[in-house]
Amino acid sequence: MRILVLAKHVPDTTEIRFSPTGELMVRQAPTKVNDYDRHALEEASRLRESGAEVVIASVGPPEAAKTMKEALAYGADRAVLAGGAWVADADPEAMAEVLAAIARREGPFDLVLAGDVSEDGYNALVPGLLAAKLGTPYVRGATALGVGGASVKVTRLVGDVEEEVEVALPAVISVTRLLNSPRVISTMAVMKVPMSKVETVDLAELGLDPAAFAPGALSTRVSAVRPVQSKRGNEMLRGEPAEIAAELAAKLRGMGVL
Amino acid sequence: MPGLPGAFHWLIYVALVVCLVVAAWLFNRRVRAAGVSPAELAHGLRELASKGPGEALAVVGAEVFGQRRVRRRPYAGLMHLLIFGSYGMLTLGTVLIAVQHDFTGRFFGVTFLNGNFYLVEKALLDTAALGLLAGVGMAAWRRLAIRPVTLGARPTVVVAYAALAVMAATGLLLEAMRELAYPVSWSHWTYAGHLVALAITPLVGRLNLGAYQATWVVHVLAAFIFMGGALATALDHVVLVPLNIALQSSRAPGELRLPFNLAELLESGGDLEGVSSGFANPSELDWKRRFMLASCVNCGRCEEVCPANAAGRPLSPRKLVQALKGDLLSPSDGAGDLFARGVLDTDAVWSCLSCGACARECPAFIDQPGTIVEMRRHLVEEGNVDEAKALVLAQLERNQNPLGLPSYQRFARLAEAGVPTIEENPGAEYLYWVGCMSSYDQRAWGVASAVISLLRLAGVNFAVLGESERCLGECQRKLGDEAGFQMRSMEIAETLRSHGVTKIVTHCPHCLVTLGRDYRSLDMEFQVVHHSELVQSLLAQGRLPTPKSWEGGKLTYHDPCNLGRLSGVFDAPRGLAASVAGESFVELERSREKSFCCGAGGSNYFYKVPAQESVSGLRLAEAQAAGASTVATACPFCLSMLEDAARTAPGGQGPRVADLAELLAEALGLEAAAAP
Repeated sequence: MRILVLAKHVPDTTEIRFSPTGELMVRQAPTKVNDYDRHALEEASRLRESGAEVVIASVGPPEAAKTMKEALAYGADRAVLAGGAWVADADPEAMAEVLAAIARREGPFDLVLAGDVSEDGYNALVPGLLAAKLGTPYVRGATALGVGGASVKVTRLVGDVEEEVEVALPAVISVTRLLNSPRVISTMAVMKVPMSKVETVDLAELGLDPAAFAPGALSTRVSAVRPVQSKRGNEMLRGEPAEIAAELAAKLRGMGVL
Repeated sequence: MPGLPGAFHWLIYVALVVCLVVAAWLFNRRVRAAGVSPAELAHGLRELASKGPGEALAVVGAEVFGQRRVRRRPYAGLMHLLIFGSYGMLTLGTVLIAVQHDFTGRFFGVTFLNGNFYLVEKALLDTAALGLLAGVGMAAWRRLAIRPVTLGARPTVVVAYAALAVMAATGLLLEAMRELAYPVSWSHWTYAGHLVALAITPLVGRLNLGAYQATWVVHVLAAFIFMGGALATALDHVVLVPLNIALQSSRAPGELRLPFNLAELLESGGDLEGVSSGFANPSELDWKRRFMLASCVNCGRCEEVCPANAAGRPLSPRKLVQALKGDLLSPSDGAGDLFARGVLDTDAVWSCLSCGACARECPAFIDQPGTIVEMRRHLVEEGNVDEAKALVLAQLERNQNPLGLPSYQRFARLAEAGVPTIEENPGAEYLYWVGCMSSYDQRAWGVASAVISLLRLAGVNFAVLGESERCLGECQRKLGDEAGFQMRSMEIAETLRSHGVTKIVTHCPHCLVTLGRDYRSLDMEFQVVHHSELVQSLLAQGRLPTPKSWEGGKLTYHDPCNLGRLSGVFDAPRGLAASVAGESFVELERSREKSFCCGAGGSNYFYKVPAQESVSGLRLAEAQAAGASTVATACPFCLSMLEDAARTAPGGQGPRVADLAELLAEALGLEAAAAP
């Protein structure tokens, strides 16, 4: 079995802030493997233990090579990182196009695994777009996977209903954080991954036309980012516990919570 | 030897040689069973000698001949001292007689066992014989009547003790028989033999040469059975422990083994493939640590002082070391690491608080906490840790603190308090290393606030790193991410050097140990003092006034493990406490080196393990029993743990918990440096 895992290099959202002048400060933020993709990497690594070959595909800046090492440390055979100046403005459509080119070049694959969303854009579009481009079925929101023979059984949570879907391979599956508990990747484990396992490619090497990825040629662009103040307040209630409880209950009723 | 054929005399030497050969064979078998070759051991000892054996000899002298740690237990200590001291004296006495009789006297006509020296020696040897009997009696009582869980009465050890008792008893009997056959005027010097002589006088008619010779043969046989056979019994520690003490003597309290120096490793550009920081199975350990495990006597002192064990966590350092030792000597079946094979449960290694109480108590100098961290290293390298620990490690990477709060908020409170950064005040004498707790935790900020007020009052020129300060990695290292810790340490040392920082003050003992000792072991040297030391010296210099009155009731002080036992800072905090509370200061039952952990050590602040009670609750109860209405501490983690225990103390709110700096600042009427 051959598996392709999509793993994205993303800034850590807990370290993103707005500058006093209201600009989004992403550049200084530490970067990492998208947390959702870790679950896909973990699942692929487990399948690799029973003989699967695992290739990681990613689109990102040159620094993403370091992130690829971390992704490889979960247990994968190699990683292909597509980069270039166009990456900074790439939209989901462009990313999917490039990832599809990687999938064709490195393929064929029986299974493509990815995280449901990426923490930077939160579009949740790339896996589906990729499936469309590859002409395979797509199932999103996997909470459990049962890979066997020519098909895969996917358990997914839809609201409070659990659904079990069986799809024929090849297929693209995007996974939730309920799928598994990714192992801890120690600093030493990352250091032990040789850089030679990360192949960096550009659009031309993938047989793609760079002109189609120029900022003007993309179908979407982010025109503005602005902070939104969420309204949160607090109020300290004082007095005897019984009084506080009564006052609290009254307040909650007043708000319509109780 | 009166009354014995000459052949007997020379037979002793033959027997002695046979005995030493047997002992050597047993020793060889013993260490080889632990996977240590005598050649490695010899090499290790030569290496120790070439580095200057002074320290090792001093430690061995204090621990073996001075019985420093063994003496801490009244019953077992006395028993051990009686057996060890008496046997040593009797051996020395016998050697002296042999030397005089068969060497100096025979060849040079020189005798030294004469006159008063001889009489005193005789009296001492009689005392030793009685002491040995008393010691063996205590051992028998302990094993048969007291029966601590750690001790059984295995046949081999019974034989060894019996041999000692028979040796001592027949020695006195022989002395008595000699006295009856050849009465002397100085028999009161051989008082024990004399008493036996009085007891056996009614039998004197039936005493003949045959009886004497038979007693003598039994005496010598008993002595040789012990000497030759002790290494086949639990008394093998007679040889293993002193050697292990020598081999482990240079380890500072709490010092962890450096599996590699990452800077050197990266510089050499070597292959990292086989590099590992921990161990999956005891058989992978190097010979020195295999020898260390093999020298465990199973005495149980570690278990008695272990806070994790006291709180009913699934950890006994004794059982842990015994399990590793057992697996080393006869590995259990099965594949995988020691956890997969069921030698230990992972909860045991995560229960350890790295407080160092066990290692400080261990008479054999076994490094239980360090061994535990090495197993954690293995688990982390395997990715085999639960989400809580994984989260701490991830947050350290992302947010540069174990709490998972944004790195850019680290400086917020300090900025508000108007504390200059090192860029703003490059001439600062001290860099104040604030640490994660006080940078992020509202309660712990009170400590930093007090320290800032005190330093300002004393006119100390200080600055902070500001946003470029980050976790030093103490928790990361204790969680087992050694490579991550070393990587971090290199980056932090670089930041400090870039600002020309040499002197650092911190109020966090975890930072103190890390930045002081641990960084030094990685060749990064900074002078780090704890705030209690700096503040105490400011008080002593008169740069800070002594407060006039104290109305906080009885004040006690909880020694943080990282400050006290692991850094040796005991007096400065007490001086500070005395300045604040004067006569109202009371010591806790377990204080100074014997201090009991607050429950946060070894990264335990950040995750939970199964337990029957909380470690912090046990410690707080001790403070309450001492009648303290205020518990002072000098560590933000201890502060948080004990304060939490006080909030949930049985019978309502417990004593007030505060940092020494907070108490002093308050007593001096200083305003908080800034509102939190």
